[in-house]
Amino acid sequence: MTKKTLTTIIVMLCGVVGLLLHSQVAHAQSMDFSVEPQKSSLQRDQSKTYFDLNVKPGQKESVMVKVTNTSDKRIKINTSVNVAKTNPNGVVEYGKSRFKSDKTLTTPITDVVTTAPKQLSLAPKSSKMAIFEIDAPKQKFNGVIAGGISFKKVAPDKKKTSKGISVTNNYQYVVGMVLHQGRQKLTPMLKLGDVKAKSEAGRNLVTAQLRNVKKRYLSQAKIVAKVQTTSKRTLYKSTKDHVQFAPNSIMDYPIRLNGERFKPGRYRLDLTVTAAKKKWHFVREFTITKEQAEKYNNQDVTLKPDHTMLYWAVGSVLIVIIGVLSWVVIKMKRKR
Amino acid sequence: MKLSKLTTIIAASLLTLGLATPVMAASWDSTATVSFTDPSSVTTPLDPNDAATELTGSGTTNQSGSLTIDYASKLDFGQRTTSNTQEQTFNAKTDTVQIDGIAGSVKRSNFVQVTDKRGGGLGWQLAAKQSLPFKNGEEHQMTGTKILFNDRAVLGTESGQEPTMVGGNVTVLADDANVKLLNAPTGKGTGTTIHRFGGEVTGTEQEETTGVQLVVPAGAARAGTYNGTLTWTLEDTPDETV
Repeated sequence: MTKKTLTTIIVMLCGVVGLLLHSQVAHAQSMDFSVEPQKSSLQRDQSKTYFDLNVKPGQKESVMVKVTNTSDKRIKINTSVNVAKTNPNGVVEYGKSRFKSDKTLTTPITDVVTTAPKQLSLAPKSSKMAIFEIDAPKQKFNGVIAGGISFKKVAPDKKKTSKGISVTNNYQYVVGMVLHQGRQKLTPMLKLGDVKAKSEAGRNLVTAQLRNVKKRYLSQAKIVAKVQTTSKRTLYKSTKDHVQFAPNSIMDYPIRLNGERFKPGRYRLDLTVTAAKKKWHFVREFTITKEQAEKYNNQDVTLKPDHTMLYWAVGSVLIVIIGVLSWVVIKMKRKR
Repeated sequence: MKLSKLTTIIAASLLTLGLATPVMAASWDSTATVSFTDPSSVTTPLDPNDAATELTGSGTTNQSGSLTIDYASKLDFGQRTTSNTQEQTFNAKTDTVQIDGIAGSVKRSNFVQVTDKRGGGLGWQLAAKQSLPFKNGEEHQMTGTKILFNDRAVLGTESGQEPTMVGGNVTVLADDANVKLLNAPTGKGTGTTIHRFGGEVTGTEQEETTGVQLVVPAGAARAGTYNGTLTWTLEDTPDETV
């Protein structure tokens, strides 16, 4: 062994020991912080504790949230400003999320509200103020710009090494931030976006994009959706109550196939939303292609494997065998 | 095998072992400490059967402040034999807790506890999502699992102040989308609220509860240890009246 390889081994061993030590530090942590929004002079309604603020065009103001570490260890908290979005469950997400904003969202809250530093390092048993600077758009707007500020510990509880199937808990605090200006009662308006076949979390579904195109919430909505044949025979139905749409957001409304496979063809979506004493009725024809059907059926973990082809193959082979056998038997009989 | 090749393999495997364990950056920032907070503001978890007696259990979070999640059961679905041909449903293990005035350990249903000490009933909401799917180390991910929260119950320390349960039995998919569990509108949700999954479990015998279940599709799991992440979000955000 050369001197060089020996050195390499020693260096690597040191590295491994170092990593193991670090991981123990991470394991020893537990969840223990809290947040308290501080009253702002811009607050519209004093009975609310999230930030519900009136802003004037071009106004600059800052709001604060007290973050407290109650543990006896130093912790780091990530803070972020997030756009309010609508998830497929009809719940508005104020934390970081993978859902979509509508193209009508011209000024996302992330352009208006900023925070620095994005990470707070807190000594044991101490508090710090997280400061959020609001720089209201110079141009006037009517309605609301909505979002949330979230607080999450950087190294959450590490998995205990329990055998089998277990769950690690993670915690997040979210404080709403809604900026108001101008006329408050905007007329609600929903539009239908794309309608298509999809696979999500290993399951087949049809999604209908519901677009809230206004700078206002649309709350307590009821949705009734049907996927039908083009001759209006209902194949799949889905209803949901208490849906809330965030301003200028897109909800991917799911109509699940519940263990059925996609068949290629032409379909019809019939969807009704009732909210704010209004009713929107959307009808849209859409196509599921052979490629889509095959792709998503393969991804659906709840489907029983399709044996149709196998049955045909086995059946054909059996027929051939019976045929051959009968032919042989007949031949033998004749010979005799 | 040449010696140098062997050393490379050993070194590489050692390195892999090291990397497989979680790493935390240990940069210590020693500046700017503001104030000292009263540690007594941590709310002790309460018995999910009567909300009057204090308990000790592994789900204690030690959060303190005026709006806190005090307890969340560490869900454990145990060691299971999974199937390649059939969808399976596994019950979660009950919590093993120690309760004031009862000798030894007893079993309880899984639960989450929230405390609002802000006064005046300012309202809050509790949501849950599976933010990370069940994974077998870095190797394999279970697809299409569901966590079910059944027979949910709400108990409060201040009668008539309990928050509203949103929906009936709740399904949480591994899709990183929040599902709302509790809604305390203005005027409600003060004091300590217990959100229990499943009926009242008593005694020391009951190992499992149907209050929380995991549905694993056929062929989704391999042998091994799987861990997923649930994110509990405590929200102070606009309610249904906006």
